[in-house]
Amino acid sequence: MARAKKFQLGKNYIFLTVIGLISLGGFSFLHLGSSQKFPQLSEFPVENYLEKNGIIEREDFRLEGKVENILLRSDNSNTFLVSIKPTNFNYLLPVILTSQKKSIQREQILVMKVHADSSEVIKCDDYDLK
Amino acid sequence: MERLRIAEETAKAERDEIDFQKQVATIQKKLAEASATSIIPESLPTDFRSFLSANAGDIEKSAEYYAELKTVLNDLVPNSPYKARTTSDSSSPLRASEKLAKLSSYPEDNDISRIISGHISSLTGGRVDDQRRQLEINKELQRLAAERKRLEWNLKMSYSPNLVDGRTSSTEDERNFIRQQIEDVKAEAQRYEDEKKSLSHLITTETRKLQFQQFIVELALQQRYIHALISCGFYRSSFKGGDLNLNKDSYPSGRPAQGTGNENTPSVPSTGGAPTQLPVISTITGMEAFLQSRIRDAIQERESIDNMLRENQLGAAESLLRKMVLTAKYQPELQTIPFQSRQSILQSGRKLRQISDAVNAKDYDEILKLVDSIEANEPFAGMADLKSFANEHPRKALHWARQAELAMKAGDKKTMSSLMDIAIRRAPLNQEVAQKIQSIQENAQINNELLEELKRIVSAGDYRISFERMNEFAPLVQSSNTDPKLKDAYEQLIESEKALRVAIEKTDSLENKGLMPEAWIELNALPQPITNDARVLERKNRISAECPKFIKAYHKAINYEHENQPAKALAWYLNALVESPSNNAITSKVNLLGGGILKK
Repeated sequence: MARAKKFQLGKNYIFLTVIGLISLGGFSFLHLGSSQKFPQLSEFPVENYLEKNGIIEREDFRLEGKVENILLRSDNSNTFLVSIKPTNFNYLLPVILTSQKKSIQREQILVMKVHADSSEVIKCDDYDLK
Repeated sequence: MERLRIAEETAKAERDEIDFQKQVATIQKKLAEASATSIIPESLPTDFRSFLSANAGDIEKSAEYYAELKTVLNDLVPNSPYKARTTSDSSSPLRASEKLAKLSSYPEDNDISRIISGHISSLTGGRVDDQRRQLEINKELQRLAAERKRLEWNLKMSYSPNLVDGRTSSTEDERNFIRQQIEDVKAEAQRYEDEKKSLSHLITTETRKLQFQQFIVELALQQRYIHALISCGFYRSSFKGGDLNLNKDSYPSGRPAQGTGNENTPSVPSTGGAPTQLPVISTITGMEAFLQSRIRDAIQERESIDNMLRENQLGAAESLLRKMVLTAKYQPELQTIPFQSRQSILQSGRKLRQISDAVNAKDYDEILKLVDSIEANEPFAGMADLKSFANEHPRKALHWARQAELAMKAGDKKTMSSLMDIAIRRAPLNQEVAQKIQSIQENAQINNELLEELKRIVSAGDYRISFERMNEFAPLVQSSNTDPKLKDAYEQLIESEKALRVAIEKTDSLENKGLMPEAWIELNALPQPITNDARVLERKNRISAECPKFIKAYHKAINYEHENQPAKALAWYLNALVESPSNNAITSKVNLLGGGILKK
C-alpha cells in the first residue's frame, strides 16, 4: 500500500511537472513570440525623421513605444492619432493607427509596423501590445 | 469746413481794407477842413505862417503907435469906428495934422504918415525943404534899386538847378514870395518917384490932387485902412465943398483883371479865400464907407478871436485869424494879438497835423494821445470819430492776425500770409499785433522744420520716436495739407509701436508668472519691423535661457509648418507641448495640424 501511495504521488508529480512544463513552454513561446514581433523590420529612425535627414518613403519600420496621449480620433472611431514616446528616446511622435481587436489606451506599450507616407505622416499598419 | 470759414474771413478782410481806406480819406478831409495850417502848410500864405510864429516883439510899443493912429483918425473923421458915439463933434484936422508928424517916428508906420504929410503940404501949398528932401529921396531910390536888383537875382537863381541832384532849390511859394517883395520894392520906389515929382514947383494943383487920390487908393489896396481913412479925412478937409470924385487915372473904374494892368498898380496877394481886391468906388465918401466897414469888420473879428481863445476854440480861432491876415493885414486888431495866443493857435494846428500824420502812419496810440490832449483843452472839439477810429482798427488788426494763425494751423500758407499782410498793414505800429505776427511766423517756421523732421523719421521707419513725439506731430498729421502717403506711413509706425508696447507688457506679465514659453510665443508673434527691436531682443535673450528645449521644438515646428510638412511640424509641436503642457497656442496648433492629418 505504501508503494501504491508512493506511486500515486509519483504519477501526480509527473503530471504536475508535465503540466508545468507545458505551461512554461506556452508562456515562453508567447513571451518570445511577442518580443520578436516584426523581427524582420528595421527600427524606425526617430531622430532622422525629426531632424529631416530622410527616411525611405513607404518603407516599413518597426516602432516600439508608449502611448503618451490619444490626440484625435476619426469620425468612425476606428482611426486614432496618438502621440507615441519611442522606447529609448525622449521625443514624441504622432502616429496614425487603426484600432484592431485590441483597444488602445494611454500608457500602453505598443510594437508597431509603421511607414511614412508621401506627406511623411507615420502610419501604423499593424501593432501588438507588449 | 475750417478752410471755407478762413476763405470767407480773407474775403471779408479785403472788403474791410477798402472801407478802411475810405475812412482814412474822410478823416484826413475833416482834419484838413479843421485846420488848413496843420495839413497843408506849404500852400498857405507865407505871411500867415510868419505872423503866427513872429516874436512878441514890441506889442506894447505897437499898441502905443496904434493908439496914436486911432486918435489921429478920431480927430479927422467924426464917425470913426474907434470913436465913442457922442452927439458932439470933437474933430480937429489941425490937431490931427500935428499928431501925424509924431507917427513917423514909429517903425510900424513905414513912413506913411510922413508921405501923407507931404501930400497935405503940397495940397495946401505949404513949403517944404525940397532940396534936402530930394537928396533923401534919391538916396532911398538908390537903396531900393539895389534891393530890387538883389531880389531879382535871387528870383533868377531860384530857377537854377542844384549841381548835386539837379533839382531847383526853391519852391514855387518861395518864388512867389520873392516876386511879392519885388512888387513891394517897386511900389515903394514909385511912391518916392511920385513924391519927388510933387516937390517940383511945376506940378499943378490938379496933378497933386490926382497923386493924393492915387495914394489913398494904394493905401486901401495895401489894407492900410486907417492910414487910407486918415488920408481921406485930410483930403476932405482940404477941399471943403470941392472935388470929392476919385480921378479915373488914380482909380480907374472897372479896371482889368490883376496882372494885365498897369505895372505900377500895387498888387495884393491873391491867395486865400477872402476877397482882397478893392470894389469899384467912385468917390472919397464911398471909399470912406468901404474903409470904415473894413475896420469895423476887423474890430469885430478880433473880438471873436478873443472870445474863441477864451473858450479854447482854437480851430475856429485859427480859421478866422487866417481870414484876417488876408483881409486886414495892417490892422491894429491883428497886429496886436499876443504872441501867446498866436502860439496857442499854432500849437493847435500842429496837433491836428500830428494827428493827420498819425492817421497816415496808422499810429493809433499816438492818435488817442493827441485827441486826449486836444480834448483836455477843447472839451467840445468833436474828436469822437477819431477816437473810435483809433480804437477800432487795432482790434481789427488783431482779429486778422488771429485768423492768420488759424490759417497756419489749417496748413493754408497762402491765406495765412495774406491775412498777416492785412493785419500788419492795418496796425503796423501796434505791439500786440506785431508780437502775434512774429509768433505766427515762428510757428510757421517750426511747422516747416517739424514737417521735415516727420519726413525724416517716417523715412527711417522710427516707430519708437514717432510714438514718443506723437503730441508734436499730431496737429501736422491731422492737417489736410499733409501728404496722405506720409500720413499713412506715420500711422503705420504708430500702430507698430502700439503693438510692440502691448506685446512687451503682456510678455513681462507672463514672464513674471513663470510662463516663459507663452512669453516667447508672444514676442515671436510680432511682425517683422519690430521683432528685431532692442526691447524685444533683450527679452528674447532672457527667456531663451529659461526654456531652450521649448524654443528649439517651437522653432522646428514653425519651420516645418512653413515648409508644408504638417506631420513633422506636429511632431515638434507635441514635443513643445511637453515643455509647456497648458499652452493654448500649441494645443490649438496640435489640434489643427492633427485634424488635417487625420482627414487625409
